[in-house]
Amino acid sequence: MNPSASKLRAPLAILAAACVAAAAPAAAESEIGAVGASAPRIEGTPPELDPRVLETGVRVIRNERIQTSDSGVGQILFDDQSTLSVAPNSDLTLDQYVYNPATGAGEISMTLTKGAMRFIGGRITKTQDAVVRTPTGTMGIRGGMALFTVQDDGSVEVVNLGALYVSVKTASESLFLSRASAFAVVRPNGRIVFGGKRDLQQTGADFALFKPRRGVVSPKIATFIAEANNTSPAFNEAGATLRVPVSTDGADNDNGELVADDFVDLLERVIFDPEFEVEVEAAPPPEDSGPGELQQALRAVALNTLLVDSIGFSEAQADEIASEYGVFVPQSDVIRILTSNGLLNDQTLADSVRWRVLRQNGFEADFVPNPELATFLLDRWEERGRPTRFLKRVARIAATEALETSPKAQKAVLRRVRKELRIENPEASIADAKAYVDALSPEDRAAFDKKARNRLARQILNKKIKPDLEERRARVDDLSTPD
Amino acid sequence: MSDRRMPRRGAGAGAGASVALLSATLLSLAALLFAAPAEAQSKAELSARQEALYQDLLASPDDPRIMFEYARVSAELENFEGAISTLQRLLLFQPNNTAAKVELGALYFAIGSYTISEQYFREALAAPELDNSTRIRIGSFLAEIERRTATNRFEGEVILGAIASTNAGFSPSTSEFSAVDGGTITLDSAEQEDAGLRLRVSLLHSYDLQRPNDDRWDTEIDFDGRVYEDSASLNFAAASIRTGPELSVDPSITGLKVRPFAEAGVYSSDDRITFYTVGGGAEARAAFDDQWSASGEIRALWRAFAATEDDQFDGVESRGVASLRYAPGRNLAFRATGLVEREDAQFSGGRSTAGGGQLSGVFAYDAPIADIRQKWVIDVTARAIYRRFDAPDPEIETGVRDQVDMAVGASHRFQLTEAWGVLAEIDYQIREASNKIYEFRALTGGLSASFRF
Repeated sequence: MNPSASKLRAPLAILAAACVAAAAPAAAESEIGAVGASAPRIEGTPPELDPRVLETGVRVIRNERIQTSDSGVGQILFDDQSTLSVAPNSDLTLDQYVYNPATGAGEISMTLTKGAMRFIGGRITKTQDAVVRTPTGTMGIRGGMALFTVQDDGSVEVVNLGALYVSVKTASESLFLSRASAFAVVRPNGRIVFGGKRDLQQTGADFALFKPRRGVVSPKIATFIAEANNTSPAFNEAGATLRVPVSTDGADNDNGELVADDFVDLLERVIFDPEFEVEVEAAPPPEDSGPGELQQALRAVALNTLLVDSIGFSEAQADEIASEYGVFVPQSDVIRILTSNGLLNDQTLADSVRWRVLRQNGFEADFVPNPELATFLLDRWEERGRPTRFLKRVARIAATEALETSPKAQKAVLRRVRKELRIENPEASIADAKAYVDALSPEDRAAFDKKARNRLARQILNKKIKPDLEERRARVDDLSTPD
Repeated sequence: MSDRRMPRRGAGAGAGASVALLSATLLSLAALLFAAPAEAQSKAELSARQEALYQDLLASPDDPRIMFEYARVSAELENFEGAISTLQRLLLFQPNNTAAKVELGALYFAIGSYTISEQYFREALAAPELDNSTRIRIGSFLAEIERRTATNRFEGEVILGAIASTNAGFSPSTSEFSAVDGGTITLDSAEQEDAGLRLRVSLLHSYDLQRPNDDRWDTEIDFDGRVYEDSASLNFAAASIRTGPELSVDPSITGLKVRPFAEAGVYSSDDRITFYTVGGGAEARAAFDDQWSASGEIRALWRAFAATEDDQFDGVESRGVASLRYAPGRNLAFRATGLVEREDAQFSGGRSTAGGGQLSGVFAYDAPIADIRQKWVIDVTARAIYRRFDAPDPEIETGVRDQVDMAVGASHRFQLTEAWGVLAEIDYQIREASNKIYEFRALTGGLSASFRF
């Protein structure tokens, strides 16, 4: 670095910091909340400033315009505990926001010009309507939740998701929706049409508006998941959440009960959900042409973590098992490979780091490469009692392998299809079943295969099916019991 | 209603037990009253905790530990919206998190948003990894959602059990009284202990009027009957029907609702129909916030006795009732009720004006048995009603009669399943009157099985 340039930078940095500090009080006064989630990203344009990317945690400003792309969804948290979810292809402006934390009173208003938003009221709406202006009318929300969608024809659809009421007003008409799922359409000419109650199909479509294509990038959640395991104090502490009675009758306090007995299950699913995806820019895309060096390293980390942390083998045993199944990579090589790919920066493979690495790269590395190893892990895991999500994934891998290679498994699938066909045609044969399956469209076939795989996986988990791998197993019998 | 049919014959009740029961009831009510500030304080502390967690969330919106704790505290505070928004944010991070969907289904159910609740539950059911016990529980929620969202909704309760009373006929302690003309009046019965069976049936049909609010047409049918072992003359039964639409006056779902209604009833004693009623009135209810609510009712009924010799008691009963309810927490509620009543009849001694009040407290708690996932409910009540008659009954009194009815009671509902439960009740009633012939004391206890549907 040029020393003179370095000398210049210090005063400039101080000057810049001073400018920022001077501007901070004004900015703080107009801050009204923060971005709770952004998937993959949403944009904000503060008044008289350039557009900016609204990352999770960024403070939002009064009068800021929020825009989303055709794949962007997000959630804004307001200071009064109100929240606003924004659907793709939306455009709205946070107009007025005044909140007095001491009294809980305030005002909140916004303008939705395009797309859809879901508003959940916080403290302000307990005493004051939140106002949503749309191209066709003005809505008010008191104490609860509502959904607003600007349609292509300019109409606005309003759904009471569970508010004390949602008022709908135009220049000529007004309507109050004060039951959950009641909805109305406000026509461009100002007419308000009460639509009745939202049915299940319509509600499903409403949900789809806010479903991100993939999970939001969140290093904090990735780290949490990486560090959590079902024996750590932190995990159990968090697992106590939501263990409160939830009324089953919606209004009164009798017969309350909670659906999920044990919220630890929820966290376990957070950890073991195979659909969970976290993107890390440093992670290279998976290679299509077989496992590369990085994939081999990740597979080794995964297998080692499973064998040592989850099942209880010693490091030496784990290495021997990995060698037996042809997936052993020396730890020094693993550290080198992960470091060179930007996945490690401290040259160690602590437990938390291992889990983080695995999570950040998903399980796309397919760390259980063959059904023999899958069966081996299944057997060891039986000693842990109930199946975990991880175990289920292992079972699915074994099921996939069986369906591809085992005529017996394939015939079992066809017999099941035949059983279905015989509801309509008692004479249906295996050949008919095969013809039926062959005639499926690629999409239906994929769904069919997935269903068959999951069914077989369940059978494997329930020990109804066990691949015959005695010979292989015999060779590792002396390693089957953890120290 | 006439009191002439009440006095009979008998002996005195155990005064010691009565005082003990009265004391216990009032102490129970006082204990519930003292519990209110603690409940309110607990709520305030939770609320402060929730606010602090939210400030942390604003700084770290994707911190899962804060998210979970905030959701937990919000749900405990019954601020279900806070828990919902947090779990929905979790779904932005994990669109396929099945357990979050299950919790969201329960939370939306709790706020009465059943279609959304069903959507979340069905999405959760579609996940192959969902365990069977959760599937079963979701199934019970879905069944309940189906019932609650039906256009025509039926529900009810049947209570059947044993009942015992120290004074089943609410009669005075003695059967002989001095008449106005100096003679003696001998009643055919006096205070009499007895035991028997009690049957109570409540049915509700609710028709959804399909409006933008929760307006509906409710019809209630009630039956209450008692059959005694020793004396059939003490048997009693009452059946009534009330029907009318509940209409929103205020747009808010908790705002003012008014229900005009028509009502009819039939009453019997001694296994014979005594009188009929027909009339109408209006109910109203409104919630001011999540702790305070009020309700009221005015009604007028024409009463016609079945026996011609009782025609003189035919007349009109008019009543106004107003209640204020305070619920400092989800498991504790108090109600104060005021009542004014006017009875008119052809017979001047049957005309009266009454006023009184009732205090009640309800406390619900988790059943202390592991396998029973129900709330058990304690209900404590104390009431007093003063009544003054317009004119004396010329046969038995010279002056205008005043009387005070007082009662204390408690019940404990041991709910065993969603449908089945056990109900234990005890009730002590006293009437003090200017004419002893109308006074009585009665201690009544019951143990019943209840079935809700």
